[in-house]
Amino acid sequence: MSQAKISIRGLDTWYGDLQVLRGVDLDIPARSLFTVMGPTGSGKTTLMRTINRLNDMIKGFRASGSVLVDRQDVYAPEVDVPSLRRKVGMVFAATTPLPLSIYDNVAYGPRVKGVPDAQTSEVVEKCLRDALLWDEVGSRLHDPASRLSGGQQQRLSLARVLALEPEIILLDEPASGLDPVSTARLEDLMRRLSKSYTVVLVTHNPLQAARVGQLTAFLFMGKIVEIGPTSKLFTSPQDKRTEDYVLGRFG
Amino acid sequence: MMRNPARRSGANIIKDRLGTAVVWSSGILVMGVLLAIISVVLARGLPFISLEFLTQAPQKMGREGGIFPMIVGTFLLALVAVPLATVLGVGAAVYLAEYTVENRLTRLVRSGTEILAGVPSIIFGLFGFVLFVVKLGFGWSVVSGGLTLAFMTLPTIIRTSEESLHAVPRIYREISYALGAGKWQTIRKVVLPTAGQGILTGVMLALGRAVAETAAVIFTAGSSLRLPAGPFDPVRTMAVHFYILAREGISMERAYATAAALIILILVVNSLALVLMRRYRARF
Amino acid sequence: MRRGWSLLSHERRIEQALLVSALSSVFILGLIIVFIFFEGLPAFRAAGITGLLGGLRWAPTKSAFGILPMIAGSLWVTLGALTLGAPVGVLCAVFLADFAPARIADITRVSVQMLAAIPSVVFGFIGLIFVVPFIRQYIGGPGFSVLASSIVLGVMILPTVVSISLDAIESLPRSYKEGAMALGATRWQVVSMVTLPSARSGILAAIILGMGRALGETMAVIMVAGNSLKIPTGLLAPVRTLTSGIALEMGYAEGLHRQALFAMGIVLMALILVLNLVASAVARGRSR
Repeated sequence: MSQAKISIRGLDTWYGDLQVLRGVDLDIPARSLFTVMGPTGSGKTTLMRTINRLNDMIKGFRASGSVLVDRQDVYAPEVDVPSLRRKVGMVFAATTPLPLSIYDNVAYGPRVKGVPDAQTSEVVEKCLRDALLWDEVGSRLHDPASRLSGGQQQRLSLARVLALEPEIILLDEPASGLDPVSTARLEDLMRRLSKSYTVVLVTHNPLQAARVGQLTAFLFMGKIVEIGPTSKLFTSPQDKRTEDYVLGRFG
Repeated sequence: MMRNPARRSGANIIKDRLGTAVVWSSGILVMGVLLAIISVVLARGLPFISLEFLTQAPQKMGREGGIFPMIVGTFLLALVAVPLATVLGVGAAVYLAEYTVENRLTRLVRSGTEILAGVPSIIFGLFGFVLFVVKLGFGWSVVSGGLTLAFMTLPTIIRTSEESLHAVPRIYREISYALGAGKWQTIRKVVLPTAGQGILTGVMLALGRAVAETAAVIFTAGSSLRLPAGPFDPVRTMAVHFYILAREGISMERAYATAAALIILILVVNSLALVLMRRYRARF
Repeated sequence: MRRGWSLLSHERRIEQALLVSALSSVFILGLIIVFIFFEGLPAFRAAGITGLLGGLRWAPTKSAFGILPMIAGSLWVTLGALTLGAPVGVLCAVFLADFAPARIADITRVSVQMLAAIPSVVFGFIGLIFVVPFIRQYIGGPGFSVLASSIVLGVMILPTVVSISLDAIESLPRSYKEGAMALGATRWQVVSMVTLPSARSGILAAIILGMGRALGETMAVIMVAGNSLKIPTGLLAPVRTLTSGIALEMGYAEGLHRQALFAMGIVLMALILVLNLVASAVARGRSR
């Protein structure tokens, strides 16, 4: 039995008749920065959404195999899904915030949980600071979040997730559509967060995978092709497909 | 196939001038018609509206006196119809849009609401008359009229609400669930507020129809000139009163005055709707 | 976790409440359709479909249920309304989309919305006071006529035609118009050669919906149509439509007579249903 924070064994997923993930085996250690890389369409987002059970939203979705978080199967019938989603926070690829103010965006999670208002405002400030956004928005917390720039909105999404006090943070292509400066900032933030949280990054950009993270897994066409320490995967990949991908021959 | 329009011949220029004139005339005609109707009604009706007119009961079959019971009647019917249709209609739309998947049943319901939204009001009057007034024994009453109007506006409210709910971007729901919210929490905190503007439009439309409607009302709420004492008493609305005064030629001045009051009421309701909608838009 | 449990049951209760409203609404919708059918069918059976739809004589007290004159009346009046209202409505939409300067466009838009809000009885009344005497005096006939009804209904369908045509025109990609203008087309040429043809299906849908509105109008028509029971012989002849026919006799009709009125309602609804289906098919052609 693995000691890993997230432990996946033999995961197959289907949308109706279409199988997306095939026999995925993965161990993600606690408090690490783990990258899942692969070309578009390989199943990276599906993998993430299976961990926090967001795929439950989609009709016709089926999963078999085991997905363990802290050695507990997330698909067990007695699992309280909202609690799971607070433990496993997710930052989406789309930067669109909720159609609320900056403050209400971050306060959303705590309010849903039932945290009293006095406590919530402390939490909001702390999370905005941790996401390196406080300096820019602290004076206009009640402005609509839609007015922020893309990079700011993405940090807001992060703050929103931090407000849940999660243990795991999943980031699905968080830098897509962001300029290089915002991207670098985000990557820095992820490194910092991985000291206290288990951070899983999903990206289609091998260069980003090389920059970020201690462990990397290469997911291709629904299968895990190779996993290993990032530097080793990039300098001496075991599988030809991995080599082709990191060298940019496809993807 | 398009001929080369760059041929700036005389013919093309004349056609352009003519076409422009025709288009402008249409626009001006529409504005003109509205202006004409409103100014006639207000010019002939406003002078006759006074506090006494609005607070007194009619005398001599409406030849003299005021329209107070009719104002009350209009409000009562709207009060019965609009909340009922809104609660049922928005609730149904939320259930259909958020709790079911697209299947034959939802498509059937959607076709049904589309068809019923296009049914003429006289048919609802017929329906309400036979069901409420006769078969259920309510008689001509506030209840019969209110229920009929509720049934009449229900399809419109369901349709506009469902459209508004579907227009809410999917990502909002995903974010909300990912933050640990339940289905109803998501609907209450994100989906409904976002769809609110569209839903409100539908409700306002319903209200406007309830106030202006004559055909469905006259056969279900009756045409009594007295203030209703209870929900099962007949009542006359402003629109019905105007119709009777005008058609029977009882009192032209009072007809104009009633029409003017009715139009002003409708304009106030519509402006309120516009203001509310602009406030919603400003929020995001 | 106690918090989790109460949340779950709360969610479930809400879902049940919403299901109840959905079921009630569906029930009501079904009730209306079923009810009208059941009330009208006996009349179809008694008078026979051809007797009803083809019969020329409407004398319910003598068991004559011919509604052909009223069907003809409804169709004539609607045709007239479309002839007058559709071109003006579509051109007004063009005006709003492409010709009107911003301030005037705003005023026109508001005018259209207000026109939509005016009660039908007011339109009928204005028709009664101005249109009918005008026709009687300067054109001919009793004034109460197909023409009067067409004018009044034509005005009443303007908001429908304008707003839906405007939607269709405004949703055209700007590149269509810009492409034509780059080739040196005049404003009107852009309209006639690009805008109108491209928005054709949406405009058609608008006109068809206007037709539905005209067919269903009752109060305004009663006031200006004249309510004669013969097939109208011309524009200036008085006419009775299906809608006014129902409204005029509903107060005192009983038994088979009343059921015949429901049958008229069914015919009316059938006409409108067919139109709605055509409109949806046409609108679906739009979303290419």
